[in-house]
Amino acid sequence: MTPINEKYRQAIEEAERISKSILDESDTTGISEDDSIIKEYAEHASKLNEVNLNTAWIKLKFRYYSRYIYAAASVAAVLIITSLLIFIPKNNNDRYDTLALQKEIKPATGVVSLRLASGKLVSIDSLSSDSASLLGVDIDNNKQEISYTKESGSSKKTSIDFIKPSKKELVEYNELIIPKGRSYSLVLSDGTRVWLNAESSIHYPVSFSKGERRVKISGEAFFDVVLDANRVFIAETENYNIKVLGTKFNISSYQDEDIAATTLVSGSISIFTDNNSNKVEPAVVSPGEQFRYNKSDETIEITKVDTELYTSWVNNNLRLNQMPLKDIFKILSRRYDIDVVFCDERAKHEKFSGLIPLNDNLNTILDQLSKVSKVEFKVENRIIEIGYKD
Amino acid sequence: MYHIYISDKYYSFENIFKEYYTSQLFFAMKLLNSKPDAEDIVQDVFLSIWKGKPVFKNEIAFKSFLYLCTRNKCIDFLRKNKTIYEEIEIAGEIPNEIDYLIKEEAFRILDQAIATLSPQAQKVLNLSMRGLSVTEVANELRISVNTVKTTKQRAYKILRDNFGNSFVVIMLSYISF
Repeated sequence: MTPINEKYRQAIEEAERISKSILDESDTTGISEDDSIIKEYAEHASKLNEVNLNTAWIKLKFRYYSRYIYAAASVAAVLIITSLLIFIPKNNNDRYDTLALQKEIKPATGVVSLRLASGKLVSIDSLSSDSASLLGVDIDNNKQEISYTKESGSSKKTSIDFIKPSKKELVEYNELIIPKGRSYSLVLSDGTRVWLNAESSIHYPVSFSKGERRVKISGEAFFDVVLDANRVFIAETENYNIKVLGTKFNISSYQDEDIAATTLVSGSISIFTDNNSNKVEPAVVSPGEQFRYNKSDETIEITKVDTELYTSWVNNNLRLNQMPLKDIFKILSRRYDIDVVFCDERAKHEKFSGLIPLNDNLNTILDQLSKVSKVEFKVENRIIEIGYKD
Repeated sequence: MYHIYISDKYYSFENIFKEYYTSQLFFAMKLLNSKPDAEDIVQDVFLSIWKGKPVFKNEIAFKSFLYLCTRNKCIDFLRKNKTIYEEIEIAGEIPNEIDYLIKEEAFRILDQAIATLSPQAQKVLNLSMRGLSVTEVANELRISVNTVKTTKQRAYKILRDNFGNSFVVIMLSYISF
């Protein structure tokens, strides 16, 4: 049995022969169906764009140099950190004075899509008002809102219960999908208004049934639920469900976050897991409180919070109260198409309070953050390197 | 700045990293079926080379060391899943690893060679390899059929002449990605 190192050496030599034969073969006229290796090479070539070498190199540099920072004792630390900042070799492209010249980073633009009951995906942005009426919805492009409350006969032409009112209602579901950088609001058939943040989606019936009102949320949404004592409103998320009669609350349930949270502005909600589980008492949340679910240890916490901090996004603002920079950037990267690299641990924990308008140029936001603190930014293409001024 | 010594020459570590990162990443991705895990592992591989500063007898020694290092770190990672790890212990190998290795290294050599050509020649070659006919390439790039033919001819000649001389690292090609 050949040892693995010998096999690898032979394979490396074989690779050189194969690459030459791919070259020779593709030179001859026509590429036949047999040339699967050439097709594999073409597939490989198309994946190359997805690899960001510059980011990878910066990350490696930081990992290599940061071990000095951790190993140092506190007195010596200051000296070592200062000398390291001088020592870290710079790229040919490193030039702090070009900060002013780089292209402005605006919020990412994507298409807000609506998935119809048939499975077809349509772009909300390019929906004309005629097509919208056929679907039974009203679109307001200025307000960035879609509404299902149109009750007039003409818009209900296509719904089954209009044609055959005696038949059992067939519930049609739609899904509204919000990409990075966008936000949108939706008025459901009962008048409940839902604001959706970037990278979120909501799955809901076109028309609520008589028994209950139920929707599914992924990402972040703010609800203003119309009071209906006869029909409970249930919002389902990946980890838990929220039951209300009529109220205003915010759900934050992103897959890439460790904590799923629901913040109650007014009214009352109860939170339960598994549709009709009788094992656990539902948690009752009062106005001004936030329910937090920790996905890793499955624990629950209910605390009093300043609800403005969690709902200001509805007005395209981010209100901060001592939020660490790493969390701020998590939110910013849902709005802007950026890669973030922290070159200094201290920058991660720098806390900020105040208001960030979310539709500004990112550069304006970075300037502001830098002015009021010790963090500094270097922006190249869409890579943001974050350092700490000493 | 750290330089890697391979036989009697030395190369800047940054150049070697940018030259070999993608092939290691794709190789690890095939072994692990996960991009984020593969990214972490490849960073570990280059970090340990940077820290250990090994010296290499020749080019093949360097390449097989690099791929083996990636492969071994992948095995350590796969150890988390007992069933997969048992299969590896019995077979002595990760399924298809040699096949993946040969292909990734072959593709890397080709990428590097093609990157030395002019941007137009690169576009012509990439489209041709995707199976487009000379006419289709001409239409796609808005150039004449003749230009496509001559570009291809010249490109293949350059590549064939220089093949085997290509251990020298070409940095410029990667800045455009």
